[in-house]
Amino acid sequence: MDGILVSRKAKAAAHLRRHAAFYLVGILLASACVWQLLSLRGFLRGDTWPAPSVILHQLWHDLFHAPSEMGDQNSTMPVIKHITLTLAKWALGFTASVIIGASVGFSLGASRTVFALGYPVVNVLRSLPSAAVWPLCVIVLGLSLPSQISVIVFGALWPVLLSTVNSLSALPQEVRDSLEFMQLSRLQRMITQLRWSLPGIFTGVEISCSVAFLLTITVEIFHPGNGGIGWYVFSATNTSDAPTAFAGLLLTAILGWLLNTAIYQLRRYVLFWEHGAHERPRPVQALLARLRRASAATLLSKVTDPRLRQMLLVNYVTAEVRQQFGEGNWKLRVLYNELKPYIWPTELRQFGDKPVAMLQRDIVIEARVDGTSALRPILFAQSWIDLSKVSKETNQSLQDGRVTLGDAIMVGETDIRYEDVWYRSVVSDRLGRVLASSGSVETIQRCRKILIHGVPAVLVHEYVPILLGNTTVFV
Amino acid sequence: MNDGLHIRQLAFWYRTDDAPIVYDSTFSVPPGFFVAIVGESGSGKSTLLRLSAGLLQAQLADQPSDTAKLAGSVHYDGRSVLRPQPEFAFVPQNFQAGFLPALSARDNILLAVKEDGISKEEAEEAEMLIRETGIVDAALLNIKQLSGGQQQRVAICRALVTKPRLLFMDEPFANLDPTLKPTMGELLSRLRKRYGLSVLMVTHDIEGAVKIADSTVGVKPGYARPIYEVFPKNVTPDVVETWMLKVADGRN
Repeated sequence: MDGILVSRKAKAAAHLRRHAAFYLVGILLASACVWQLLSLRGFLRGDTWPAPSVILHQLWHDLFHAPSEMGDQNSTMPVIKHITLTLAKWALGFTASVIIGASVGFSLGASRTVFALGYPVVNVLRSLPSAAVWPLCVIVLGLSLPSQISVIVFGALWPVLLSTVNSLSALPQEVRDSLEFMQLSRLQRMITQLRWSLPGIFTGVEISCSVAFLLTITVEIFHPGNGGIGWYVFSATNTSDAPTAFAGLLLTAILGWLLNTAIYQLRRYVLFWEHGAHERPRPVQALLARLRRASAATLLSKVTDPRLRQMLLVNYVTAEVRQQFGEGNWKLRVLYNELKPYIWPTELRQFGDKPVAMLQRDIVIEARVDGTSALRPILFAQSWIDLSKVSKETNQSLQDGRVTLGDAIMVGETDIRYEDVWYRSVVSDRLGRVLASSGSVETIQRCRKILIHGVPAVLVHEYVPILLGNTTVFV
Repeated sequence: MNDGLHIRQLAFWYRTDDAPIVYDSTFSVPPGFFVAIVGESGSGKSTLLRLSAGLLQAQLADQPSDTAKLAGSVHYDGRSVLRPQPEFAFVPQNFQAGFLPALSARDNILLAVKEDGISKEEAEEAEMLIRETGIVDAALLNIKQLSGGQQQRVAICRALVTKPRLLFMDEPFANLDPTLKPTMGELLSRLRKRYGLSVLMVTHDIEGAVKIADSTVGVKPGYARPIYEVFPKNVTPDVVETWMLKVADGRN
């Protein structure tokens, strides 16, 4: 159907868009290869157009080694330290620009009188090139860090300032009308207006980020004494050192790109709705979940028997056992089924402060692993069930202790959701006594919650032995 | 006893050398009354509504204009209306633009009452409105996840959470699925009874308006100025439509 509805041209364009990064990197690498080849063949002069390999080597060396062992403080520092200096200056300048720009912009946007008096001044000041302010800063503040920061702030505050003024004045009529009828104090009204203007203001913040970075490098070239990447780039002119000049350029480009990417990601976080998301992304949690999934995969691959691994992947374990081993080839034994839990795992804290009726249920599932021999324990499970959160039917059948947990919930509840919490490997003597006749046994533990009507109602810990069959004696 | 809203010989020019947008308009919204302003697009009914609510006056006070001119008077409960009164609430036509996209439906409603933190009563009031308008399931979702009809209910909840006496609505049915119109009409009359509200509503849907309104103000663009006529309760749509057509050229 795709072929009928979408033209080949549109498809090619879509493909190009989707894999733009891939193609760009490809083109970049290809150009670098051509450059390298031309240098090797001697078509390019090494003292003006050094080969990419030379540049990269220079950058790699300088990153961690001081360019020279003697000389001033700057030349005895590895470039990685200069990077931190530049980033610190950028961060200071950028933060100050955003704070000053947004607050001045807000006072201009909020009051018509302030606007009438202040906007002409803003217009005159912002037309000044920030580099032209440098001499004045040096006279007033000296050749120092404060004058460097002042120039950065002077150049970088305008995008934030103007975007704040503009987005406040461009609030839709509906928003202005709504604000008229809200019972808000003056301050709250301003804050609410600001929240509405956030997307517009953020565009200014993004531009300020790049401007602040450009100016950081510029002021470092003006005053190399304070160090920074600007110093590194500038140091190449003294010695006409082409590899260093190129390495400096490359480093600046990479850093600039990284900062832009970071600010773009911040926008995606703050203004999450612009990309169709309905709630603020939680990058840290997402990363942790991903890591946990990754480690779960490694852990699960340790379980040698594919049937056991499968059991650890499905929600209804007993159903899986039935299918894998066949009726009559397995047995479920309830070891403990009391309203007095003898262990309270930490995960139970999510169930509320003091569950009134908490049933602990320990079971072991035994199966004929090779189809003929005696039953061997293949799974030990402990579950904790908050009886106040399950229906009457479930409650009854669980306390009877005859049906499996999965069956009881399946029959008695309508709204069930399983949440995989985590996997980990557990070696324990106690488990050894249950899953083998003696000694310790290595197991994979799966801990998960069952939510009934959206609230956590059941906690399950399942243990499956990693090796099946190596332990000779089973219960 | 509340005196209600009285509009007397109201006239408004955006530019004094142009024809007036509103001219010599006189009608009242007594307490508990539902008044509908009907007319075609461009007849100045939305401007009339914004003037009645004091919105345009507030806007002009904020950004004075050399060309705009206002005549006549708007009074609410004996006071001259120069900006929206605390007893007023307003649901704009394009209500979607008035929501903060970062918030849930419930938080968007509570945006309207933040004077000194949200009190328990206000939160309860909001919950009650959410139940009353039937958006319980959607209240905690992000506002963008709601359908158009649900969003309109959120807009109404936000207007009512400030406990107004008089609700202004601009084309409340315009962005609604036709099948939802009767439901919205019922919801409005139920809320009106429950909160003892007066409503002044602008719509181009004559049939829908005369069905629920206690009185209907017809507006049509005349030759040099708009023309108004106040129709009583239970007027048939035909009467209003005939009036609209009869003197459409303005030379009565």
